[in-house]
Amino acid sequence: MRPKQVLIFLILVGITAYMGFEGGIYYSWSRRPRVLRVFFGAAAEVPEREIIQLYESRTGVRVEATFGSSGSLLSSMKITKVGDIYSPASPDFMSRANKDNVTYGDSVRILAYLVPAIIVPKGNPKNIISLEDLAIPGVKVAIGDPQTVAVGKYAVDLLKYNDLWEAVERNIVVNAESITKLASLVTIGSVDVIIGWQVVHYWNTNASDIVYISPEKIPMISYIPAAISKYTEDRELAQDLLNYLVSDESQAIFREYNYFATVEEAKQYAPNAEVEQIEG
Amino acid sequence: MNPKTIAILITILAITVYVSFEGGIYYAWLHRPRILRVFFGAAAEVPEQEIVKLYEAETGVRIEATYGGSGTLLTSMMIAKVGDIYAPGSPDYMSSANKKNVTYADTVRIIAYLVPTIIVQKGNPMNITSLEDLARPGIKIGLGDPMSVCVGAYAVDLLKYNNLWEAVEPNVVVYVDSCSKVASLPVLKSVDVVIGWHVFYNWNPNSTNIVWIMPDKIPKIAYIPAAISKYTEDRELAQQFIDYLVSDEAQAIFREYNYFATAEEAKQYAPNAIVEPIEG
Repeated sequence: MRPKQVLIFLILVGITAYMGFEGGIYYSWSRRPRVLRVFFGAAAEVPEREIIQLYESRTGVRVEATFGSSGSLLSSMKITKVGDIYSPASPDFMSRANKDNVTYGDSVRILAYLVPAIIVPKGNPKNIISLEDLAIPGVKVAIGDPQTVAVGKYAVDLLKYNDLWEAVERNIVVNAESITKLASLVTIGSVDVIIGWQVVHYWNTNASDIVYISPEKIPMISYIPAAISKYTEDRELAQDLLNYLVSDESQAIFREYNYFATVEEAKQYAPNAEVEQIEG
Repeated sequence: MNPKTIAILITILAITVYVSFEGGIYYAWLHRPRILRVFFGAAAEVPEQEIVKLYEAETGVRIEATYGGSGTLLTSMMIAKVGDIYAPGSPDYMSSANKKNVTYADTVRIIAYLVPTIIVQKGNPMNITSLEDLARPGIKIGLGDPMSVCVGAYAVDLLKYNNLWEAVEPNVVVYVDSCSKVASLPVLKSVDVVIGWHVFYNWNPNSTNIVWIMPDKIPKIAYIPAAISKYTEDRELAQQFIDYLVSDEAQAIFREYNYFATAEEAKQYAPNAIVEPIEG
């Protein structure tokens, strides 16, 4: 080869080496482990698990999902400073997370709507047909702990709105520490009635019955919001999962488990109710 | 150029691409972000912060350190399922982390030792010279809450061991919820005396005095343990950081802030005391 040809070849080798090196870095980057930590309030664990599984198998992203009471999850996120998405079981806790600077207020989306209902053991042994019946002396009532469990705080508000709180409070024998425990109280028959969401009945239709609350007695429709946490280190990926959680596909899964995917569906059971706003 | 030369040149280029591509992958691996989350009880925050900074500077590893009440940190780690290292303020919490399956019991190391002392306001206006003096009528005592603060539980044990608890208890005017609050009580002159770790004096040398407790009255030496958490995703790196926490360099920093780096140093002040073992 002539010197000029050698020079050209060496330049080619240099360019090739550079591009190969960059290609290797890009390859590693594109194959990096992608992990999202999501903190879900426990009000929709079953459909959420299914949605997460689908998302993982489609994208290869690993989702570490933790389910618990909305309040405990929030304080753990604050202390450990981890989490990509926070999805409490009520707008209240979302407002609190926004105010406490744990979530981006402008990233909030709604995953599913919830309507309250009275849930009783199968066969309704105490013959409870209305909210007023919870005040009958001797009826054993359980609600979620209003301090940490979204459905518990909702129950107190609902009873107060209907001027029943003072009469029902005396009958409350348990403040359950999570909605899962609350639901099990009625299925094992250790209480006569709980105030839960409608969906709680569908968690165990063999052991529970549902008593619908008169629509005019329901002041608020609740819902499950989700937002990106300020502790995320991959906001783009967190946004991607959040978008998937509100996709048509996810909505279909929520519906399959009797959650309301849209506010219109929820309003069939509470036509005059307001949809609570999130602050922050 | 003849075909043979061309074939050789192309082979060289192909090898160049392959080698540099692998090089790029290796480079990306070397420069991958390395993060450790460490949860420290607040009994040694100042030296620990300094050690963390040094380690970061020497290794390029990012340490997310959280300081707080040992019990609160443990609960949050369990809920969020995160953390590489847990270093509570006392052996008790380490035992409970082992039992709750949060830490690898066989990785526990001791990073510093603590001896209980009496801390009084500057000038010792009440002239307190011994543990017995705490039982004098009219002395105002502050302690850590024995339920959640390690130094509080320790103080109660110490007084009981010396048969003084019944006489001293009526003089206890406040139980506070953290180590740093115990240390600040005599500074604020809200009490005459507290039972605290010896280092509390060094936190406020201008506004407090230390009264050493007679060695034969001290039944056990306290210490700050650290262990690898089962939630770690990089056990090797976590081990490396624990090794650094007990290195000569780290020990020198603990000594600089008057912590005891070895049991022998602590035993000068409590020669017959036992070093409480960790369970789990």
